Amino acid sequence: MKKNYFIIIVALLALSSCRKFLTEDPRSIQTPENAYTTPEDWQKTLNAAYAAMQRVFVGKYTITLSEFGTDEVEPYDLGWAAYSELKMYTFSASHPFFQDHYRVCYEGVKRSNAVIDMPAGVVDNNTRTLMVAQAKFLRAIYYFDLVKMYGGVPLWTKSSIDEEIMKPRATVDEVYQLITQDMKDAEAALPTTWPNAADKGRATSYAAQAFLARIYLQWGKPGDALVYCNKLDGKFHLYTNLKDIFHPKNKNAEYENIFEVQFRHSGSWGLEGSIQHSYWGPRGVGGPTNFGGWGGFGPTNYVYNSFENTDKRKTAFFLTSYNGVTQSPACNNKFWDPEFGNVIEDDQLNFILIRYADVLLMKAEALNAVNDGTTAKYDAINQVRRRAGIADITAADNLSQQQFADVVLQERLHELCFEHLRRFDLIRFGKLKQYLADRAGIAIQDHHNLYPLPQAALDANEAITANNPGY
Amino acid sequence: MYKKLFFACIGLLCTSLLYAQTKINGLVTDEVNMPLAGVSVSVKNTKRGTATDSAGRFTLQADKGEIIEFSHTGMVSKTVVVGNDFTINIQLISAAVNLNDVVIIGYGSTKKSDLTGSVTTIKPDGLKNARVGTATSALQGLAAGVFVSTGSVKPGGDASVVIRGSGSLRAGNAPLYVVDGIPVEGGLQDLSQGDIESIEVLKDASSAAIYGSRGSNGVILVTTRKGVKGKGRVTLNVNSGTQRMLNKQKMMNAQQYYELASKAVPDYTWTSEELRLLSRGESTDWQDAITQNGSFSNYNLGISGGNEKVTHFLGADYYNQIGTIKNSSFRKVTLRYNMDAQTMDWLRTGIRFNIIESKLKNINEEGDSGYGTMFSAISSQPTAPIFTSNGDYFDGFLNTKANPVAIVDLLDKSTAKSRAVGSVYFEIEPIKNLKIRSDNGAELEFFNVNSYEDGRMGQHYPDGGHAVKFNGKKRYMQTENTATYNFELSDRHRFVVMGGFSASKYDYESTTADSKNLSPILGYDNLGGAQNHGPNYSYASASTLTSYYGRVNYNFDDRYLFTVTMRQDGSSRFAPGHRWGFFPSAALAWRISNEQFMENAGAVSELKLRLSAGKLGNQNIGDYAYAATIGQGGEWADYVFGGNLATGSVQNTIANPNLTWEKANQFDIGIDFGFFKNRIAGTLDAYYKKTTDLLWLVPLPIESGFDNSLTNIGQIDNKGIELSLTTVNISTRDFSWTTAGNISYNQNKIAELYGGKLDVNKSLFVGQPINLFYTLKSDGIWQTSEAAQAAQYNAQPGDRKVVDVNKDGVINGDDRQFAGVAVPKFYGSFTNTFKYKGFDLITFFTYAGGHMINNSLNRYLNAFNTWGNMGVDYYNGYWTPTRPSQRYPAPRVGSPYANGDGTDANLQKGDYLRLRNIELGYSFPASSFVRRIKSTGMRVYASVQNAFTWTQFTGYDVESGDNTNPYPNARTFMAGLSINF
Repeated sequence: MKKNYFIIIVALLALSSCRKFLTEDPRSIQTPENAYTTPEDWQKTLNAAYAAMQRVFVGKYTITLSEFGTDEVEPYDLGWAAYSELKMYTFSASHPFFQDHYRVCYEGVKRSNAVIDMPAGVVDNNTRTLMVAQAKFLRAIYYFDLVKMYGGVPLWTKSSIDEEIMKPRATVDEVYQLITQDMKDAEAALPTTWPNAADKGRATSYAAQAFLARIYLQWGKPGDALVYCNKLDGKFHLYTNLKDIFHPKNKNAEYENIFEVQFRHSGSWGLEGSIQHSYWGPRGVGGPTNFGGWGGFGPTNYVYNSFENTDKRKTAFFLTSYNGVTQSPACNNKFWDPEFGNVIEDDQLNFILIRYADVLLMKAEALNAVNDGTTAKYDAINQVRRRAGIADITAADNLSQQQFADVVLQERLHELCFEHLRRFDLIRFGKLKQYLADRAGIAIQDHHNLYPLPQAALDANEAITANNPGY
Repeated sequence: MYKKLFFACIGLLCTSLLYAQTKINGLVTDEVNMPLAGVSVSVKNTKRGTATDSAGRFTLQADKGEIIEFSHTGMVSKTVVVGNDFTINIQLISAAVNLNDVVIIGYGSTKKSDLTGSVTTIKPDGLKNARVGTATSALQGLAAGVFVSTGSVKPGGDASVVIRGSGSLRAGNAPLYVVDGIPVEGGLQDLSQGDIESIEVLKDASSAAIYGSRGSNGVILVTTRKGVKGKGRVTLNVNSGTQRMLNKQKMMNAQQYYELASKAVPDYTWTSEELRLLSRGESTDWQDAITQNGSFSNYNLGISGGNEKVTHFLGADYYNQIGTIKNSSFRKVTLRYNMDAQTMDWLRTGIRFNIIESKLKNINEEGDSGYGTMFSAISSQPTAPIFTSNGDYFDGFLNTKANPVAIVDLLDKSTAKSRAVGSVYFEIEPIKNLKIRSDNGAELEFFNVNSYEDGRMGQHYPDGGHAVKFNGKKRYMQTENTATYNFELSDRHRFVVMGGFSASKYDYESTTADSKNLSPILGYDNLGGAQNHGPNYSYASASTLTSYYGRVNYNFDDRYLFTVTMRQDGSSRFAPGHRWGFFPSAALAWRISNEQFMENAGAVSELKLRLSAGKLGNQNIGDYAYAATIGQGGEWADYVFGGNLATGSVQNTIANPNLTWEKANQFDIGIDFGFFKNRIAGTLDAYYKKTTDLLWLVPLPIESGFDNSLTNIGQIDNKGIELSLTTVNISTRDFSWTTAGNISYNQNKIAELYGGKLDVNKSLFVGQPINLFYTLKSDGIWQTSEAAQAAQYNAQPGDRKVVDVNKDGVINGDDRQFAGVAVPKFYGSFTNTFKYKGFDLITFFTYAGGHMINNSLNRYLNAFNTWGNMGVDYYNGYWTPTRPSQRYPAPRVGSPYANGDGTDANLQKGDYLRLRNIELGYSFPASSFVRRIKSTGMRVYASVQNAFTWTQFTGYDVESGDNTNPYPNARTFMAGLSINF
């Protein structure tokens, strides 16, 4: 009998210690229970919302999707189907870049939503307002990239995953309404500049205004765009020396550049360095270790030849020879890091997402579109042209509204080439099909103004019932 | 012939003339020339008889012309007519089955005849058909229902095993491996084949249920060699061979490449180095440049002995393989010591101890297509020289490829593993037949990857060198405590009752340190001297498992056998409240052959019907999978403000507190049969394994920003039939022929998937098998006459024709169709063993079929690309207006679907038949010259492993797991010697 008691006691001990024995808490990863307890935790969440921009805008996808099928950039590595299909418009909805781009954009949306839904109480109210405003700014940027590429997309505006997750596509207007509202909220709450050097790189109200101009123009509302262009009048300047625009020494100077995606040389490939120098550097000079590039893509012959020879941008933005190796077509020399360009995927170039020259050209475009009768549109475009050392356009040139629009579009090509804008400029001006046919000899259909939603998105979301027409 | 006849006549004459009994003596050995003790030796039709002693020797009086019969349980009896020779040495060969064999089951053992579950025993003899490679890969073909795919044939590469079909999508399909009671992760790759005494494969629910939550994929139990009391024994095995790479891909030469590339891309820029090579009429064969003849050697020593009280076994093994790709190699040393001691009448103790040290030299093999060595060799243009005119490695490749020769020359990367596994047991027997045993084991493993990438390897590699050091440490501890009681209620009712408790803990930690710009001499051994540091990582995780288990075996009159097993498991891998699972099973066996009505069925030596059912679990989901995880830091999360790093944190997964075990309900019906004194024996099993509560990453809409959610959902059914058959076809004094073979057929089907929905992205469809290909259908090439039709699909004549299945004028996802499965529907093997006097010849074939393989290398070989080279088959077969081929598209830039992506164009039939081993050996008996070196026997042999393969697959290897950057398979010619003392 005594023996039996002993056994029972041992068994009970074993059972009670079991619960403890079977508890293993994660050691290298956090869980929601311990990840959002301090203001710093929320700052990290916001940091990650910014971080998605690095991949959206400087990963392959935005470059290839916004530049390949245009008159400005072409893939040289034509044997790679993913590249050549984008150039030739033979892609299908299964093209891997659509899926990757779509995924990283929504990753940005998810991260932004996490901050926007931040509970009150952990972070002080002022800081919280600023953080939410930054997150809205970012969410608008991600949705803007989506709506430009694919048209109406499902709208996720909450961080919760408990509600209905199969969301149908919103209309293009609904997406733009969300984007403009977010940007306006950001504009209202954010400072015009961040006083502390440690905060450089954060969204500002000026950046929100510049984006509102870009967004409204793309939405087809030049009148609204003009309001925001005007707000920025005189707030920024143009560098006299074209080389100063992209030079890493001028990062976050807020002189001409309004908003930049931040990178830094980290000494470690795969961390926070940028990949731009490696992508665009001169070809055939022995790769990035010799300040060269990979040569997978670059400018078309057309874009280089379209500059007037007196245009300073022709020499500032291009290289025709490097280390004795002729670059034909000329090589894009905008993104050049003299210090770390020889380190693969680890240069310290920021990517300038929007700058004052663009605002001036948008202003000219918007004024022309609303048929403004003053000389304001000439003033705007001429600021850009003067820096490039080319002749003014004046009323005396007697350009029709359409002719002026064509001039603006060409000016945008020369000023903003390789800044991931060309495809959307061509679509906005209604020239994609015509210019591709004339300048690249590629025939496309009208439905190519939108890319298809990625097949994977259709497969995973039963509420999306149809792809864009033509796909 | 005349000679024989003559001697026979003389013999007969002598017999009739002399007719006097003579003393006959001799030695009886088994198939591996080990002396057989206790063999009954008798003179037919007389009462004279004896048995062999422990050295296998016998003496007996017999007359010439009398017939001596040698018989032993489990062996095929032999008879010998006494002739002139007074010494009769004889070798007995095993019957097709030995019912007295002891079969290891979890936490115990039983006689083969008493087995109720579906268990296959693999004897180490079978493993020698795969002497190159791991013990896991050597299991191929040895058991029905056990599918072993070679996977990786690189030195040190391991195979994967799936028992009775894949029942899991997410939690893994690898069986549980248990070596001497200790579960081993990652199969048997560290085990020396020479240490193995037997391998048991537990396939059905009844036999595997004792392993509960880890048993749903079946269990492979390995028992290592123990000492035997009596004369000490030393066994030395030495073999060595050479390896020749197989299936070199036929690529275009420089001139063909130049012609094709110039035609397709007229403004293609050729480097001056390329033009120089072309002008000399040369061509670079990159495959030849990085490959060589491999070599292989293995030395194995086993020493065993003991007395009544203590037995021990000492094993030492050295394995060394130089790969067919230059600079790749694998080396392994294992040491084992096993000891068992009957310390007291009531106390038995013992240890099992094993140390393994291995080192793999890596050369960017497999899994790394971007800069992978073999892929680079395949796709580097033949116009490129290996070295430039000033002696540097040529680095003018398009895109980011590396010079493959530079990789094999300069990459300094190795994976080293040091592992110690050991256990001690105490077994007391307080009253007769009650054994209480406590078995306590531990494992410690250090896993180390060092790599130094020289800047000269190519543009993708940092100029000043890049070193990475990874250190992992794994620690495992367990205690298993059981009580086993054997008792009989009468002669007819026999019981074995076992109950136990166990607890185990596993923890793991790792560190990765990464540095750039450092001394090429010190490399990874002095990261501190580097200019740039990071990213550095560390990781830690732990899991625990607690279990109670029990089993009752009831044997009624050797006719009816019952087994009931249950196990209760608690695992830390699930959320509180969902940690415990209960896994019961039951089995019934009916030994029909022991029934009275079978007494007259003389030809039937064994007939047993088995039935079993039970529930098993799978907890292989990784640690903390139920929790939402928030990742900290890293390229993907971090940002930069004011030029400084700003750490980011991101929620990467969503929580599922209800996560629970995958459950496999399995039903099995089987028949074991033996005919003609078990000269023909076999097993036929049919099973139905229903895996429910499937752990699966349910895809979330991409818009959610999450990829998926780990959920218990869905059901997979595996139904199959297995047959294995062994026959002793011929067994005479000098010649024997045995055949063994098996075939398995498995049907896999997704029965349910989250409420009938599909997961198109992962090709999962209700009613279809997993591992399905769901693609567009290609149909040759658009021809000139079809130009108008092609234009509708954005294509031109010469482009790949993709079928518009629903005829809506657009090729899109709606046109995808099922295009076969990646997993063989049937597989198996057959072996024939011939012995004539001292000679033996073995042929071992394996086969599998009914599946498709995505030959992803053909994306590059059979489509025009400027990445690099293409196949000569493409050169000779692409479409031109004057050569209206239906095989390969024209070399047109932007040609849609040209490389076959998204279509079935690169799928090939995977059926194969492989002569995996052909081996010829000769055994010198103890009585031969080997006596002089005190040997008790010696065998020499020569074998060709992986001798020939019949298949339609055109890639490097039909069994390879990676077809884009594979390690080529090789044919091995080897010779060996095995000697006993």
